[in-house]
Amino acid sequence: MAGALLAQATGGAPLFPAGPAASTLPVYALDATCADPRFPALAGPWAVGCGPLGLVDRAVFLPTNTLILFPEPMSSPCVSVGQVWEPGVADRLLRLGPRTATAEPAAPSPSPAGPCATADGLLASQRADQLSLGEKSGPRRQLPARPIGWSPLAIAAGWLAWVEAVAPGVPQVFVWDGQGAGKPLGAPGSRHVIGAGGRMAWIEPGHIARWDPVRNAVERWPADTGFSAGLGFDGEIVCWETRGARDVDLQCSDGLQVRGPGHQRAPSQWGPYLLHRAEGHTWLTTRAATRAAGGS
Amino acid sequence: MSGPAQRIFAFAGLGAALLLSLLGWATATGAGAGTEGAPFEAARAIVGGLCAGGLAFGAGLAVEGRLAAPGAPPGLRWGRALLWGLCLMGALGVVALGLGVPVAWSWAALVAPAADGLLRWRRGLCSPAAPRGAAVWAAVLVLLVGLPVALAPPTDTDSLYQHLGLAHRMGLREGWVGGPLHADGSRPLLLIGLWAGPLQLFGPSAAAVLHLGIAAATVALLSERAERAAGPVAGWLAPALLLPEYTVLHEAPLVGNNLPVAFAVLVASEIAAEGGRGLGLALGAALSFKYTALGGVAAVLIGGPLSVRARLRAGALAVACLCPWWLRSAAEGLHPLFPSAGWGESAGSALTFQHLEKYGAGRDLGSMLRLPYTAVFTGEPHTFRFLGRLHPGMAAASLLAVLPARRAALGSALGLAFALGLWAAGPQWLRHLLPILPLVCLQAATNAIHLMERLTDRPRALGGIAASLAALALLDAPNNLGPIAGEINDTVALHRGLESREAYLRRRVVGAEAAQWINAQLPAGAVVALLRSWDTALVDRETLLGTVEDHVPLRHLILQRGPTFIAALREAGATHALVGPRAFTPRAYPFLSGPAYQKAYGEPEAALEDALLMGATLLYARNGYAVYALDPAGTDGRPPPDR
Repeated sequence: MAGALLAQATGGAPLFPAGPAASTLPVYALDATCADPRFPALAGPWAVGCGPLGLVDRAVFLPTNTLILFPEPMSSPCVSVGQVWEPGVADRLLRLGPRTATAEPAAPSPSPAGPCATADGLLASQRADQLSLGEKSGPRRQLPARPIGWSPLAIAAGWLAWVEAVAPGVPQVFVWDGQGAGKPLGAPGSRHVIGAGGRMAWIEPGHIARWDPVRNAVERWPADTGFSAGLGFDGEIVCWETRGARDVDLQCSDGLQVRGPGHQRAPSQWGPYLLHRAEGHTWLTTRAATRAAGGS
Repeated sequence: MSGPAQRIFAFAGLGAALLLSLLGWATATGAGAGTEGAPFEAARAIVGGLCAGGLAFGAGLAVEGRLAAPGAPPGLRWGRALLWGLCLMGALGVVALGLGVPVAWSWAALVAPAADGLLRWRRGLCSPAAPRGAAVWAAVLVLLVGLPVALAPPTDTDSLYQHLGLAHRMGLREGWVGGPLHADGSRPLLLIGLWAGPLQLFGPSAAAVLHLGIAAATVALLSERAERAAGPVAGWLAPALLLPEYTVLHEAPLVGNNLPVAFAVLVASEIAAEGGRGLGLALGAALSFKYTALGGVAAVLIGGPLSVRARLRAGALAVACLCPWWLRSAAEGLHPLFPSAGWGESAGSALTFQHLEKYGAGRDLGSMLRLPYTAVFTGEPHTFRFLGRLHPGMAAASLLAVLPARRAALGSALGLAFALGLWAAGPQWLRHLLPILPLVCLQAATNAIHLMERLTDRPRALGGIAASLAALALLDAPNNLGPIAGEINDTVALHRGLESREAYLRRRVVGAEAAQWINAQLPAGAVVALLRSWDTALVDRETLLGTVEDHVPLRHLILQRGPTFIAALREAGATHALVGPRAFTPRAYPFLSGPAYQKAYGEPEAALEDALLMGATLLYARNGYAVYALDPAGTDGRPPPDR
C-alpha cells in the first residue's frame, strides 16, 4: 500500500508547480485534517501527518513511500529530521527509520503551554512563564519568559527562539543561547519563527527574515505572508504562502511556485520536497533540482 | 422570631445591601466567567447569591404587601414575594445595563423597597410563613446536590453564550445590545438583568447560586402547594416525583431560564388557584423569562378556576409585559416575536432556525403516543434527541396528571394535556418540559391522593406508592441520577484545591483556552467577533455576533453578505474573530437533500473559511479554535489590490 502512495493520480485537481522542474502528487495516507494545523509537516525525508481522528499518528518515508504508524498517537508534537517529540505527562520521543518508528525515553517535561521544538539533539518546551532547553536526558536549563502560547519554538545552532508579546497584540521573536538572558531578534510584529540547518527564519510585517547565528547576520526580503501558516524552511530554502486576488498560492525562495485551483497552503520544506495542503488533500511537490535561497 | 431579632435581621440586611451597592459602585463592571481562580470564590459566590436573593425577597415583600387584598391569609405569599422581587431586580438590572452603569447601582435602588418590605414583615402586615416539613427537606436536598456544581465556574453552553454571556457583553459594552449582530440580545432581557448583578459584583458562580436558590424555592413551593391541596402526604409525594428527574437536578445549579420559568408558572398557578392579584404579571414574567413558558401559561389559564374575564385580563396583561421587547425588536429591524424569525426569507430560504427533524422522536400521531416510552427508554443526557432522559416516575406522573380524577380537576387536566401536547409538537427537549413539570407533579400528587382516598386500605396503598417510587428511583438511578453524580464528582478536584478554575474551564469547555489566550494577548480595545463560538462569557473583550441554534446568526450574515461579510464585521467595529470548529456534517441532516444541505450549511462554512484566509490573519489555533485579526484594509473580504 505504502509503495503506491505517491504514484496515484492527482484526482481531478491538478496543481501547477512553476520555477525549478518539479512534480506534484497527492499523499493520500496523510489526507486527514490534523487538529494541530502545523501538520502535516516534513521531518527530513519523512512526511508526518494524521489519521482519521486528527491526531499525529503516522509518517511516510518519502524516498521509498513507506507508511509508518506510530506506537501511540500524539496531539501536538514537534519534529526535526527523523525525530518526533511530544512533551508532557507521557513524554514520547520517536526516532523515525525507513520502516518503523522507535520510542526512546526522554527526561519528563511539564505539560507544555504551546508547541515544543526539537533539533540538533536538543529539546525545548514552553510553559506560560518559562522556557526549557536541554538534551533528551539530563537537566534542562530554564529561562523565565512569557511566550505567547500557541506560537511554536525554534532551535538552531544551540539557540532557542520563541515569540513573546512586547505590547498587547504586538509579538516579537526572541532568542536565547542557553546562557544568560534572552534578547530580541526580530522586529516588533515578528512571529512564525522556525529553525533548521543551523539557521532561523521568521516573518515580519512585509518581510521574511533569515538569521545565521554563526555570522550573526540577518537577511530580509520582501514578502507579505504570515496571514495563515508559517514558513517552510530547511536552512536554505524558504517557502511561504502568498495571497493573490483570488486565492492563496505557495512561493519558495528558489523560485518554485505552486499554484492551482483553490488555496495551496501550509508549506513544509526539506531538501527537494515541499509538502502542503490544497483543497482538503495533502500534496508533495518534488524538485528535480534545487537552488539556494536568495536574500537581500 | 422575636421582635428584637427581627429588628436586628432587618437592619443587618439593609446594611449589607448598602455595603454591597457601594462595593459594586467601586468595582464597576465586567467580571469574566470564572477566571479569578481563588479558593475564596466559593464563599464569595454563596454570599453573593444570598445577598441577591435576600434583597430581591425583601423588595418583593413590599410589592406583595401592596398587591395582596386586605385580610388575605398570611403564609401563602413568600413565593409571590420572591417572584416580584426577582422581576424588580431584573428590570432594574436591565435599566442599569442599558444606561451603562454598574448594576450595583440598581441594587442600591432596591434598598428602600427592601426596607419597606422587611418593616412590613416586622409589623405583621406581610407575613410569609416559613416553609415546613417536606418543603424544607426538598429544598435542602436541591441545595446540597446543586451546590458543588453551582460553586464551580459555569461551563454550560447556554449559561456561557446567553444568560451570563449577554450580561457580560452588555457590561463590557456599557449598553444594551441587539439587532442582527447581537440577535440574542433582542430577546426579552428580564432574566439577563437579574443575573448581571451577582455576575458583576460577585462573579459568575454567585449567579449560579441565585439560580440554585430559585430552583430550591420552586421545589419548596411545589411541596407547600401540594400539601395545601391534598394533605401532608402530597407534600412529600410531589417533590418525590420531581426530584429524581435528571433535567431538574442538572439545571438547578446552572444559570438558566427553564427553572425560573417553572417557578413563575407555579406562582401564577398559585394565584389562579388560591386567589390574589398579579396573575397577569406572573404570567408575563414567565413569558419574559422564556417563550417556552407558553405551555405553562396556557395550562394556568385553561386549568385555573377563573372567570373568562379574568382569563382574558390576565392573558392581555401577560402579553402587555412582552410588548416593550417586541417594539424594541421591531425598531431594530428584527421580527418582533423572535429575532431570527423571518431570516429564512431574507437569506434565500436557505435558513431555518431549527430543524425539528433533528430532535425528539417524531411528531406523527404514533410517535406522539409512544413518547412516554421513547423518552424514558431512548433518551440520553448527552444526545440531542431529548437532551435528557425522562424518569419513569415522571412519565407515570404525566399520565396521572392528565387523568380527570375528579370533577374539580378537569380544567387542570385539560390545561396540562394541552401544555404536554405543545411540548411534544416542539423539539421535545426535556428542558423545555421543565416549565410545566412542577404543575404536572402537583396535579399527579393531588390526583394520587384523591384516588387513594377512595380505597379502603389507605395505609397499605400509601406504602405501595412509597415502595413503587423508591423502586423506580433506585432502578432508574444509573440513568437519571448517575449523570448527576458524575457532574458533582467532576468538581471534586476543583473544590479540594487540586485544580485551578482556569484549568477546570479548559478541561470542561473546549473553547476556554482560546478565550483565555484572547484575554491574555489581545489589546484591551479589541472587539472580537464570535464565529461558531459559544463562549461569550469567557471573553473579557467586547464581543459581537455569537451564536445560537445551528450558528444561525453567522450563517445569516454570510448568506446575506456573501464574501463581504468580513467587511460587515469590520464596519461593526470588530478587530478580531474567535472561530470555533467546523460544525456541520451532512449526516446530521439526513432529511435535507444534498443541494439543500450544501446551500444552507456547506456553502456558508466554505465561505467563512475562504473569507478568513483572504481577509484576516491567523494569530492562534488550538483544539479546533482559532483567533484571527481582521485585516484593516480591503472591503470585500479580499486583500487590497497592491498586496
